[in-house]
Amino acid sequence: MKKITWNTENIMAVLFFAAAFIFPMIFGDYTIDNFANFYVTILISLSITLIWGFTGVFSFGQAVFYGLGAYTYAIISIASDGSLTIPAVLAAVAVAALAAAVLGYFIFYGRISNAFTGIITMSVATVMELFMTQTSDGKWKIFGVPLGGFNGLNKIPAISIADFKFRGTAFYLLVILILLAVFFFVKWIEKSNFGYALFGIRENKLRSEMFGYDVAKLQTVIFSISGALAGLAGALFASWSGYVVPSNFSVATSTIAVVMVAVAGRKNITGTMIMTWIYCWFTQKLAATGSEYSQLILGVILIIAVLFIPDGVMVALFKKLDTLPGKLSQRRGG
Amino acid sequence: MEEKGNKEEILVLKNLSKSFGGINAVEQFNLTMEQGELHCLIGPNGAGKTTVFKMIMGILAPSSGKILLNGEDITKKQPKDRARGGISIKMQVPGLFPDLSLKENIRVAAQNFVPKKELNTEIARLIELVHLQDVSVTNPLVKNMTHGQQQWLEIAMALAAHPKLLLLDEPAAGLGPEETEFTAELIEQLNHDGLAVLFIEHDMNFVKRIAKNVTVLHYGKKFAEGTMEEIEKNEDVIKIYLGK
Repeated sequence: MKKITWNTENIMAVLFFAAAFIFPMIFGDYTIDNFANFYVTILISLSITLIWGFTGVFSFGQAVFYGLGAYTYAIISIASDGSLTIPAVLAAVAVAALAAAVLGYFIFYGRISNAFTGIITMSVATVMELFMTQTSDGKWKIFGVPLGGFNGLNKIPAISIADFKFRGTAFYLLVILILLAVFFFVKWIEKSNFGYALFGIRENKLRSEMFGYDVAKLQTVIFSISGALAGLAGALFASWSGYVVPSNFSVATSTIAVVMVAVAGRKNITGTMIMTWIYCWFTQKLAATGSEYSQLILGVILIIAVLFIPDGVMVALFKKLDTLPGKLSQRRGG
Repeated sequence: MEEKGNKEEILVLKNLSKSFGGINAVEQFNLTMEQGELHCLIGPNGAGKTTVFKMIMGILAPSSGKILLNGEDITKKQPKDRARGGISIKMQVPGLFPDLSLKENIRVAAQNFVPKKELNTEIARLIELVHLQDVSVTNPLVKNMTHGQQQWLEIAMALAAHPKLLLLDEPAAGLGPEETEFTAELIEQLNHDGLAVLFIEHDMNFVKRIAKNVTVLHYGKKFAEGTMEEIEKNEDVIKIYLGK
């Protein structure tokens, strides 16, 4: 008899996306609109999975690319009066990818150690945030759109095709489809030669060179892809919220994604998606009940989780569930 | 100017030197290896053997001197280009990817050198070559494999690059007698198939068992060179190294 096995991660991924498509039939417009941003946040987490989980490079600066994506989308969509929102999304991705490639070039070809990479990326995010807060003077304009300093930009047009504006459930479904595409893209990387090259670099950089890998180039490429993904998240956020502010560049934006990936298990894509969703939901619940200690409570839970389950909560859970079919068939005496 | 050497010589080291903060780890070292040669580098601890290996692979830049591979000057080339040019190494300290499985380790080592369609066949071939078929059934994470298994896996990975010159830094270190014997047979077989092998080893029985030519390194300088029989009879070598 063939032994029954299953792959919990794949089952969870199917359930995760099935749930995402069913939610609009269960919940009201307000909740769905609210959920949309959860899935946008998941894109940032996945960008960390690529650079940190796959490649072992510790980036504390995904907010740089998220923020750049958000501002790029905002500026182009406002400047074009809402007529160029799709090009604005593409431009946001391109600007973020280019910024990441340039920053990555200096970091990786300069052979900067991993700990410093974290510090450098965090510093760049902080500088961007500070710079943006100081652009309230009217002279700071791009395409005639004032950057607005501390107040940022608002009345940002939503993504639209012809006269159809992606708002509410339409926007939600658009984000889910984008996330699904990104999920398959990341899964494809995980199985590809490129992915294995990244794993080798994560495990042993010097050894990888001796197998003929151009380590600095591969690191720069994945850093750029990761930045592009964060930029995409930024653009979607700008379209969803209708405003961008300098604090989109804040360390908190980067940190939360890093923590999510660490707690879920940094090599596990599905685990990271679920963990990020739960986190988003939980912070909102705690905040809504008026607890100003929500971040503190979560912080403590996360520290405990990382201390006791260093491989990741979701990874440990998936492993437990992987053994379930075997146990069930044993119980049946099979 | 690029120096062109003899194509019959797979590896030539010319006056190779390396100093670390004024201390000469390797001094004016010369070595010539013919195609298909099996050559052993011996010497007391700290003689500079591993430093020589690191310079051949490009991990360390020599302070002076030249390295020629198949007559081509590769002194300034990066490790990745040397790997693609046909040099492969098994390091002294296991240089594996601990959190990847056995097969994944070989894949990372092999995928630059075979088309993707042939990757699985190649992985199976390499596993068979180093007799890890039994272990590969469960395909464990490398960090959970025994020391001997890791040593052979590393040899398999070094071979995945289809090298013309294989560098082995202490292939028998920490192995039991049977494991050592298998390693010796493996190296002999590879050499028999035409692969040039340069290896460092402390286990003198192992060296006597397989080496044809031996170079003795002492305080970073070439102390003696010759066939195994000549070296064994060399009184100076016996004094500094063989300790008989």
